[in-house]
Amino acid sequence: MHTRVIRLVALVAFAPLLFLAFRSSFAQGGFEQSLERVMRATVFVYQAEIDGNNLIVTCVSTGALISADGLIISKANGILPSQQCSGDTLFVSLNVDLQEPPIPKYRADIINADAGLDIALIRIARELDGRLIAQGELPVLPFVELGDSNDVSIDDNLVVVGYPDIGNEAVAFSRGTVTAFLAEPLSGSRTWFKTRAEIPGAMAGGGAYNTAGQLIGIPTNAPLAGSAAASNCRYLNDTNNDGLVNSSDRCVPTGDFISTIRPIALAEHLIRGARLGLRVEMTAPAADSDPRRAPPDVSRVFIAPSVRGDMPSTVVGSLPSNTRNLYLFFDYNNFAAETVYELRITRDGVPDSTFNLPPVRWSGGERGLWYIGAREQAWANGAYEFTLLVNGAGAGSQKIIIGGAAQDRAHFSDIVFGTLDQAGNLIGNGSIVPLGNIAYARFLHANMAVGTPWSTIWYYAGTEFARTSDMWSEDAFGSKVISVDPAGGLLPGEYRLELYVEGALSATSDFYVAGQQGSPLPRVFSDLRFTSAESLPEARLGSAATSYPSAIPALVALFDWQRIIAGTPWTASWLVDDQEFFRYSQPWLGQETGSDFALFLPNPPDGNYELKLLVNDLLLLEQSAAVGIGQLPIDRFAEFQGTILTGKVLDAATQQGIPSLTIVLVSEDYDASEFVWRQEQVVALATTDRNGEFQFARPLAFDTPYSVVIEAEGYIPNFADVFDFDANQLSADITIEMVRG
Amino acid sequence: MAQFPRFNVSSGAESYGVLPVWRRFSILVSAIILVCGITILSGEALPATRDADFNRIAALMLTSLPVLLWLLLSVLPEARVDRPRRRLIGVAVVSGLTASAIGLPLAEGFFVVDQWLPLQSVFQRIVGYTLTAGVIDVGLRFLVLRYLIYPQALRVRSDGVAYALAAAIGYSFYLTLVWVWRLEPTWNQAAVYALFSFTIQTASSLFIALGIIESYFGDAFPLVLPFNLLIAMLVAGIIQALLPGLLSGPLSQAGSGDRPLFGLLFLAASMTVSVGIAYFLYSNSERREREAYGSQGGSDGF
Amino acid sequence: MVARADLMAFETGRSPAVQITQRQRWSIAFSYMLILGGLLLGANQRDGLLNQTSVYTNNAAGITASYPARWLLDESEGTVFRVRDMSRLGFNTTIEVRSLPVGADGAERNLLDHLSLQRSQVFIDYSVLGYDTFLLPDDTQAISMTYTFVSRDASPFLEGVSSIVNGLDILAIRRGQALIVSFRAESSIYQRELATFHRFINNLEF
Repeated sequence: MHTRVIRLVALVAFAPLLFLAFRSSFAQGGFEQSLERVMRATVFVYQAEIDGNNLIVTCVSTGALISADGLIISKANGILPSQQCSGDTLFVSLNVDLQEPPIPKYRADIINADAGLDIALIRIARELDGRLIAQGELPVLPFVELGDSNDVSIDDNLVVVGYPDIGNEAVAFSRGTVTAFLAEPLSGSRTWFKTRAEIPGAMAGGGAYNTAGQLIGIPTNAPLAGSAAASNCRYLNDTNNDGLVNSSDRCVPTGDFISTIRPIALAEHLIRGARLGLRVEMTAPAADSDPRRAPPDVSRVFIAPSVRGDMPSTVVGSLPSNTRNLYLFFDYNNFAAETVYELRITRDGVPDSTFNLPPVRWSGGERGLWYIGAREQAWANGAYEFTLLVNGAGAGSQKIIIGGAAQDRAHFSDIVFGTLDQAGNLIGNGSIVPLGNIAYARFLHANMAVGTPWSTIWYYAGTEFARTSDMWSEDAFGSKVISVDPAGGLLPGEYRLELYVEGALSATSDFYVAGQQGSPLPRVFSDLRFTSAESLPEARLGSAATSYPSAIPALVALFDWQRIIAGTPWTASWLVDDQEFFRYSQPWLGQETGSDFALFLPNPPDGNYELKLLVNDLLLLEQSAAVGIGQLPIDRFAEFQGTILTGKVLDAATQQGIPSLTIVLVSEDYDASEFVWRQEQVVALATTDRNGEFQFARPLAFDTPYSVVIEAEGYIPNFADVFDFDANQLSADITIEMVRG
Repeated sequence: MAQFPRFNVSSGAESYGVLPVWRRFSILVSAIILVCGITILSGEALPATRDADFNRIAALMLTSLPVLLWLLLSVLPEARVDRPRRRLIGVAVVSGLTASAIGLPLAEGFFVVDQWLPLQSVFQRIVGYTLTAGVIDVGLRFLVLRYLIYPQALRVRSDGVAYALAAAIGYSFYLTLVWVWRLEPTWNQAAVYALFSFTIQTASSLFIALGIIESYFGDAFPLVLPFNLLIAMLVAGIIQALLPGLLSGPLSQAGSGDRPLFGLLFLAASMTVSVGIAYFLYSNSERREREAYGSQGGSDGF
Repeated sequence: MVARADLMAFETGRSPAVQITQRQRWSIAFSYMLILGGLLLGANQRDGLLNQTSVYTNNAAGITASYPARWLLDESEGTVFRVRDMSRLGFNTTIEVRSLPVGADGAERNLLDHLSLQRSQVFIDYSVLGYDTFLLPDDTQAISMTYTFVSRDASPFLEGVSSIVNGLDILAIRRGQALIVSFRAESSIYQRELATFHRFINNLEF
């Protein structure tokens, strides 16, 4: 009781201090100043399908403008057409008045998307009535600055901005902190940010911002709704045409409260590709989309204390106190991008939301080994139960006790694969083995007493093909190399080794056999080269080069491949000026051997292009080529910093706004008196609306002395030479009174 | 050859049964500047209202102010003198009708001054307004005076001033009325424009009057009258060209506002200078004539 | 009492039998001349300033044109050049010159139809009103197309004003290139502004 009182007094005493610290942390970053801009740049997206004269809203998302030319980032779920969100038209509502719900203004096209990441890039392309917006005709829109999500730390403050209701409420924000990072094979230790901010489901797809007002992540969720029985689902349309909008209709899912944020770093290549307008076309076979696919399932759930190359270092049944790393591994099968999975955690029987994963879209492949966990974060002692749910149904679970002293148990760890050189040393990269007769595995062993029973099981394509059992006869600590030589040699494909100690799984790892023997890496890909051509036949005939002039029709990358079986995970990563803008990471779908696999990059801007080919995340081949000056042009639309100038032009006599009046912002290179009405002298134009209000949507660069010229028939001209705002002024609102002449 | 009343200058107009003009004129001008000035100053101190009814009533009152004061100070007293100026109201009404029928349509429809003059340099605006609005306004009022009072209603020099003022009142009343009716300005801006319109027409009318007086009573050289008209046009052009520029505040990154006080000072100064010059020329020519004919006594002065 | 009643009446008629001298007649005559001369000078100044032009020369395209002074000259991508009256309240009256390559089998009408198809994708309520012939200053025939559409200020954050715009395209083919001169103005002032366009066309050399 006494302790409770002390705690309460301490809490009361420190609460104001905490509040002040919280506020100052935002204020120092200037977030309060940029909040309005962030909110203005937050959009609401309707996905709809048009059925005759009937328009049915199928899904909704919040989004954020990330460039002045209408590029929007949002969650993919709700944007990409899917079974649940079957619409094919995207409507974008903008924030005209921050106190009011958004107003539909445009239509958008999908530019880039990754259903697994649950991130989509769309671009405003049409007026609301469907007319195309001509190039350069879209007004410069407010947009948010991208931050570096890798700089985010636990307990960092963040603000999530979005629309809490389906187009019925003004933009809102929720403040919170980053409570945990979750790890998955997709991106190591920072695949998800966890937060305790209260984020309504409809805000999914909006932005999570750091204290500097920079976008660091996208709140995502994966509502399982879509039927009348589902919760968090709104009935907006008479989808069954019975004259009523009720639970018989299809509803628009919004999902539960969100606590997961996808770090923006994972979408960088999508964003870069979209910004540059780069869209790679491949000659790869289409992915298998058999609707009769068996339902997804999970098996072999176990826990590992660390990860080596996306594989568990070892398998544990308990962990000591002060555990800071924990990973839940499981095999998955028949998963797809639309699969929703969830991890629920209880500690001592009580739900623990620190490291759980609410329902999210699947970001892996169709089958394989997956993990989810946390690195360098404190796990409290207790009896944990991890339960995996797939599409809302329990699919597997595992328990572990954390606490007590570390145990010196006998175990194996850190399996790597390869071949032996002439000196008998294991060579290779650890996860890919070239075709041959024998595959070698090296692993570490610890606390292994002589006579301890241990065994190995080798699998090929999920089927056991070799097994050994023995008594341990070597040192307690050290490394050991074992091998397998299947009859008929190693076939290309996926292999797995399981090591058991006293009948319990102690270590496991997968590897792939692909390509010919190379030095030191297997030769899976070869003859990677660049050509320039308008068509594939032309590209195949073209001669390879490493330098091309500007404005070529397409840059084509061609390569040959050997002995890579369908299902082997491979990656093509395309970079420009050392920054990735395209990443294709899927199971191999083509023939086992072939030539002239082509990747088309139409209309590449000047830059230095580099293509990297990987198998199982191991870089096997790379090649580069320069186009034009070998450097990307500066993207003016990406310029963020500056003052947003808005205002109102009034008739001095009536104090009423003057509609349709043009205000000219003249370049800093000219005085108003030097302005001779040439477009090259003009930085921006603004036209007043029917209330006389105007907005230069393009920010005015700080500390730059622009001039302003206003000439309107019937009025005395008005001009000024020094419109010069410093970095403290992110926005300016002025009133200009015009006198009739 | 008729005997003209130009020999009838005497020690006091009242003694000839004619209402003196200048004192009443100065009172009229002062009163209008005072009322408009107070309104403009109040507009600076008080927030502008966008209540349309209030603004319209206030604007109509300010528009009517010169007419009412003129009726009070110049027209009604004529009834008390032996030799009243009978055509004052007629001149004012015809002048207003002329503005309506010819002046405004010509300026807006033919010269379309709004489209090109406001955007020009100050010099070009002065020349432009002189050659368009100035010529139209002054020309029409001269024509009204020519056909209504010249020479049949001219008995003493002050008649020229009184009738020119009547023409100015009628002309400016119509222009102000149209302006406030179309634009629905705020009450303080209506004061600016009422004073502006009154100043332009009155100040230029004084020089029309001087030309008529010199031509008729002094039988001056034939170019004196057109020269005075030219001065009148120039006065109208200068005031019309300069006032908007003075009203328009400089633009800065803090915005810009109008400067009605500048307008008030400029209009008051323009009126004072115009009246001063006109009175000086008027009394000078009167003195010269008196000396030439050896007459005694004072003139129709302040 | 009678006099006072008279005073209140309108008196606009001329009193009889008042004569003026010859000098005074001349004064009045000179005054009339001044007024007339002033009006003529005013009209002349109006024409001079309203029709003031600037010269545009594009040696690459072989075009010389005189466009209204103080209109914003824009040589951005997609056109040879474009000038806009930025001082206009409402749709900025625009004159635009474009050059398009013409195929051996391409007819003038094909080009105009192609333009219409393109515009229908971007202009609100775009509608072709009709085709006609147009006599160029060098007495050669060109084809013209009139059309209408709605222009709206594109800023999504403001309550933009819509304007009905009338347009006129003049298409002439020279040396395998089609030159399209377009004129667009708000419909309420289209006829008035058309004179500006005709002056432009009359001074256009290509």
